[in-house]
Amino acid sequence: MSKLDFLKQRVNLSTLKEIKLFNVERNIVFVDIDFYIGELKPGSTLILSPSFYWIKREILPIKYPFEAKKLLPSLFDGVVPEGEFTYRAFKESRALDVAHSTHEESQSEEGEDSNVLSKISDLLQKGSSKNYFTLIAYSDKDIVKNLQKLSIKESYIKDIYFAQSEFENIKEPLKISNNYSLVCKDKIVCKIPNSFVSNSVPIEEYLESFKLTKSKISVNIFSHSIVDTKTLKRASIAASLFIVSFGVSYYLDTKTMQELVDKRASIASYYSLPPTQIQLNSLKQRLERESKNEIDRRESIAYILNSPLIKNSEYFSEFRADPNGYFLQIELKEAKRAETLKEYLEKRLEISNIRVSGLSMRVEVRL
Amino acid sequence: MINKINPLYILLFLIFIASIVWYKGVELKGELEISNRAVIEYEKEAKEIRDLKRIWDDKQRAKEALDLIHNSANFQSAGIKREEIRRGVERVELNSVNFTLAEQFTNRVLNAPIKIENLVIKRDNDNNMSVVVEVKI
Repeated sequence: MSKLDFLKQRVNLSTLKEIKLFNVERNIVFVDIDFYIGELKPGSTLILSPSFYWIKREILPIKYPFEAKKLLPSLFDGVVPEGEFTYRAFKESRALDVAHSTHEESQSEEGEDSNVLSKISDLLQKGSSKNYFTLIAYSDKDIVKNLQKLSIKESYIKDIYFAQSEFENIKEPLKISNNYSLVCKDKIVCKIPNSFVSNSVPIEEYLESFKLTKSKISVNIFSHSIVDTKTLKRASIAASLFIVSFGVSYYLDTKTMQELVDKRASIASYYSLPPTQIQLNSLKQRLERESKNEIDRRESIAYILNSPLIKNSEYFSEFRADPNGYFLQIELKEAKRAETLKEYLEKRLEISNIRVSGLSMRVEVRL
Repeated sequence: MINKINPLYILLFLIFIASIVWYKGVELKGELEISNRAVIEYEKEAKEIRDLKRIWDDKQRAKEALDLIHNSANFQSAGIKREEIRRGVERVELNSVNFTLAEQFTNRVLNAPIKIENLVIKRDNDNNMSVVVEVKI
């Protein structure tokens, strides 16, 4: 067996495997305006007929489909009726053509390996020459309305595709009813009366060995909502920005909060403070009390020592200050001076005992 | 694919989340302000405590203050005495000095950052006085 034979065999095997997997997992239903083909059950994939959308094929000066987003409404201007539409652009893929044709040819003309390979390289070279885009416009509201009319519940639908993306490579017409068939003419899938076609294949047969593309679409069933989609999007963006900005602010504030906690710890460490607020308060109270006592004591001593004595006649013979109070002995010029000095001392101190013997006055002050 | 969630619900959900984030942010801002004030207050309190400790609870500082008095040339020449009478208590005496020196000594003691336990001032005679001070170290 040559290397190419082996490769071809592998391709065929993998294709078979995919078809098998697809048959097991996917239930494809073709839907037209008035009918659908296939068994409808939860998880079904719908392929919508061309009756559901407007289509155009254009060469656009852009590279990627998303770039066409802004151009699409104007391109369909005058084509679609008044109303709200969703637009999609699909870039025509040469690579897909290659894959498809390769598959078909490998089934029909086995042995023409060199021909296939040269065709592949030829097509790959041509692939990027022109940017053909298939442009589609559809009304979400109308699609939903028609699906409801056909009693297709939302819960049954897994994915939705357009016939354009799925059948653009068909070689023979697909018969979808006694009156109509699908054909692909100039890369556009059309629904035309059976009287214009011959040798059509029933679509059920085609769907049995059919591989879905990745071009699924989304249908918004809430397009009729009280608030239009644009406003909703803007409001959502605003709300999201609000959340992000407040989130960032919250995060920064949390960091600042942590910094404050750290700062408090560093203050406690720098000033050698006790860990709890109760201990701190207790320490502060003790220090304030001691400070007050010392200052009061000094002021009292100063007050006593500054007593209005008569110069050169009166003097302190003794003064004592201890933790319990003060004792002082003053030698007076005359006994009646005792009363004056007593009045002076009583202004600030509480005298517990006072004795005057002769010209000597003894005063005791208890704290 | 069909969008089965009403975008209005998503918007309402976002608004709900935004409200919660806003509320939590405002709440945190309030807490932050309180914490900030508390830290400023705490630092102020810490400085007060440090100052109070320095004045009244710093043994080293009290010793230095006492050293300054004790090592003063005036008092040294007047025969100042200093001794530890018990653990943590020192006595400084200045005996039979003139009134001016006694007054200077008393002022220095009363203005020093030391805890005075006892202070005794005695007039010895018409010219001399004695001052004894006991200080907690």
